[in-house]
Amino acid sequence: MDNQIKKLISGDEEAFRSLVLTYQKRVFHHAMQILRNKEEAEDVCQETFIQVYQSIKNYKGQSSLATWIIRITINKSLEKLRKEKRRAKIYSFLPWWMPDEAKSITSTTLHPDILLENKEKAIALYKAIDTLSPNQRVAFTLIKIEEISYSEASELMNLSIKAIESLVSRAKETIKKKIK
Amino acid sequence: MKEDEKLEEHLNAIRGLGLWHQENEVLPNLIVHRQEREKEKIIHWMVAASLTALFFSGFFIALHFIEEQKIAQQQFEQIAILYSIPNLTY
Repeated sequence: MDNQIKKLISGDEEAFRSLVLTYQKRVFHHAMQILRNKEEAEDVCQETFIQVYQSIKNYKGQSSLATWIIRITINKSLEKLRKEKRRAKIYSFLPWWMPDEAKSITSTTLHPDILLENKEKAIALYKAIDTLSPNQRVAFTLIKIEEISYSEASELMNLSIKAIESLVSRAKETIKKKIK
Repeated sequence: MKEDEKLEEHLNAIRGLGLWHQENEVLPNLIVHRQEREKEKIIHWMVAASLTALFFSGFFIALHFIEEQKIAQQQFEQIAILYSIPNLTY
């Protein structure tokens, strides 16, 4: 087993600090790509590293450490998305005079590098992505936006390649209808 | 086909943008977050332990009360036998 992992298992604080510094940008990036909300992504980032700290003893080295950490990030992001969906459903039953917090849940932060002429397209696409189920949203983001391979996505989402293909295909159909 | 092209056009608008810039450092907040979590866990266990203790206290108090009643009843019975009182109410 890798020396760094041995140190992490033994509870070495310094090894943990270096792990956070190495992976924090990637973890935040993945969370942000999926959630597009800075506060939520920061929360996921925190929760991911806490989970890493708590379950490093269970890490068996079947996948690389980076894949394992990103898988935790994706699971945490999926949990957030599911919670948001549930919350949005509850808010839809509230009377019109109640404060509409559901709007703030789905607020979209655009990447600062998006060109001005592409902003409208980006907003339309993100709105369409928001209507997808959490699993479809994550699979579509990984395959179509981050352009990672199906096998990598299947490893990250802990699903078969067939399942990922089906999720992406259904997501594509929905999005195509929305951006017509 | 046209729909596919349109989707690709939209996707190209957000592809290859590079990593998201993170404003807040994870590490300092992480320690606070972890401490908060641990505190929450401790409080959780303390509440659970208190509730368990409360439940068992109630249970043993009830048991003690029943036992005392039984003893009093037995004493009354013994007195009744001793003094040959036929209808002693207890």
